[in-house]
Amino acid sequence: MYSLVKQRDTVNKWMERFGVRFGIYKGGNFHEQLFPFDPIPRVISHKDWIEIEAGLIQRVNALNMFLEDIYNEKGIVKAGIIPEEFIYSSSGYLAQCEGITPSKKIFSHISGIDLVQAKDGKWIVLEDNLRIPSGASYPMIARTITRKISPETFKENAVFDNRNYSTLIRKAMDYVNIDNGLQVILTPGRYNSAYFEHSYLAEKAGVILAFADDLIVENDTVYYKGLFDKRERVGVIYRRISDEYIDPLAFESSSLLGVPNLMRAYAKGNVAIMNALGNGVADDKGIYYFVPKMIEFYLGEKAILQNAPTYLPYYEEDKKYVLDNLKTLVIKDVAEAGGYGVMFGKDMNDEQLANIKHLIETESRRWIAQEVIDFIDLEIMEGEERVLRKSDLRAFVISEEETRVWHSGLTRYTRNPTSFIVNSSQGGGFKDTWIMKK
Amino acid sequence: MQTLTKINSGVSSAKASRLYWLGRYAERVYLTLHMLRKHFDLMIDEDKDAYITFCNKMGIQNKYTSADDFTKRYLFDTSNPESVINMLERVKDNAMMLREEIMTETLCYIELSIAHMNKPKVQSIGIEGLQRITDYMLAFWGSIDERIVDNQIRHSIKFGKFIESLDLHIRFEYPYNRVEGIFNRMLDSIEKECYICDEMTLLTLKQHFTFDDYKNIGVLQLINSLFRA
Repeated sequence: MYSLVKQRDTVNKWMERFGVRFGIYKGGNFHEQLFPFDPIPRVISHKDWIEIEAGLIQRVNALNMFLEDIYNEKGIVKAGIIPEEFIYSSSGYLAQCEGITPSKKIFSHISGIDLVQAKDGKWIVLEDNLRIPSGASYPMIARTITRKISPETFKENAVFDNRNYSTLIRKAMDYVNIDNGLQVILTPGRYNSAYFEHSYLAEKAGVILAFADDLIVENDTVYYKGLFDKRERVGVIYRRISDEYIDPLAFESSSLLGVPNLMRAYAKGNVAIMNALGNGVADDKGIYYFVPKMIEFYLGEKAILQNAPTYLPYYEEDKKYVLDNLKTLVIKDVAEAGGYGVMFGKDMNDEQLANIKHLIETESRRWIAQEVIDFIDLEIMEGEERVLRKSDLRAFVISEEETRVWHSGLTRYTRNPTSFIVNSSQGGGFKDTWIMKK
Repeated sequence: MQTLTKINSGVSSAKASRLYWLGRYAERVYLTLHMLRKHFDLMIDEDKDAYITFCNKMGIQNKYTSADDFTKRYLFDTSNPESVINMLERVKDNAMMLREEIMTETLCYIELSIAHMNKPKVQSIGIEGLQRITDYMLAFWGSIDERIVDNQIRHSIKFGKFIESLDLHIRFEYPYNRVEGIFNRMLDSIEKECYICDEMTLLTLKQHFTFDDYKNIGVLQLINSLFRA
């Protein structure tokens, strides 16, 4: 696994050649930068992967069943397992999606599940991302490059090939496509931080990259606007625009990124949208607490993969524990993402602690608290030196006729030796993830 | 890793514009360097102010204080909207929005060109250091021909290429037979599934594109009005 270290400059040159970038906004200005790549892969043993894979399939299947339930029968609420307040007060719950069951009953076609490995070797789920999980393209292109420049590395190591991610996406799109229409990836545009991924996946999956102005809804049907008023029916949209901006007539009226009346076409079943609208209710950090119970309720099984020990201040007992142990816990704002809204009690001064205590007491639904998991560090190259840094793994689970886990993942690491925040938007880098065949 | 075949390719009005301008800007980079080399050669010992002639022919303001100033700023100055490096950035702006059509391997040549132009060592050498850009642009065009299977997409880009080529060859007063050759190649491209050419304007252009009139400003205007989407 160290064989690529000597060739990292070559790898980085290829990354630059391929334009492997992500964008960030700093001081109101947009900057594109190369995504820092570390040449030492994360290696997951075959034995570990069997358990991770089974656990992820179980978890995503349960989450999909939850979504169908929440927007229809609400059996899990009626059974008293999840308080209805949790559902309806979630910022991700969309009343506009009530009664809608998408094509083939799949809500989360592409689920990004974030995991860490604790020091005892156990894999723990940190977060579910069921709206627009991103990042798979980076390890995919990294593998393309590393296989090219170091074929002997892959002759000597029996690693599952990960370059099939776009094939999995395309299969999912084909499966849910309505009336064999066009397949498009809908992007907010060049100045979205993940734009490289939108365009790269469109290329590799063989689908059209569309911008909002390229689509129109007429008679509750979505069309691609070709030249000179030509109209081509769209059957499936892999959208990379968040719910609130996707249709200005149904959601945020000031949005210029969305397609007016898209919601109508979707509600009528005239277009499939990947991932479905309204999935945010299931990847709400508060709902995360209930996922093991969802697995039991919908599948009659015990969760294979565990959550991090989590407390919900919504419940008095948990609130008391959290307030008494604030300094040892990590507090998360359920509405935030990308590593934002995450606060470590040990890093807070007295004033900050008092402030967060007040917020937990007055807005208990807004917060969760978790035990700080001392997850394993991975080696990264810093200059010529190998150092240890915190990292997580985003696994990608694709749901179509079957639920499959992509044999790879995005391993992100922090470059800050004292930080647990690995997100790219906050300066992290990435590694390839090797799943061993044997 | 296989790139999956696209079953059908949509071309919206905005996409058509990007394809066209990708072709125009890419050809602009290639030909500008070609024309510059000729003028830099003149500046060695025949005409020290040949850069002024260049500016006049390109239709840009001569805001340069000397040949050295022109070399630095016209080639490498990112704050100069007319500079060659900014032309490359415009190519990239369009290419990035068309990755799924032109493929990453084609876009590579633009990324490589920009990376090369930004190297301090290359900037210190001047135009001699830019042969590699010419090589990359030729490879770009080769990749367009090799990788783009969809005729409409490919010919739309090449339509832009030929428009730019005509424009620059006329500005720099190339002989009629040379310019006519480019014109015929453009017509050939239009016939092969290129839908972004305004037919009425083309008819008018054909009438005026003659040995006596091809350098007229009116002909240049017609050429630059051919695109429609």
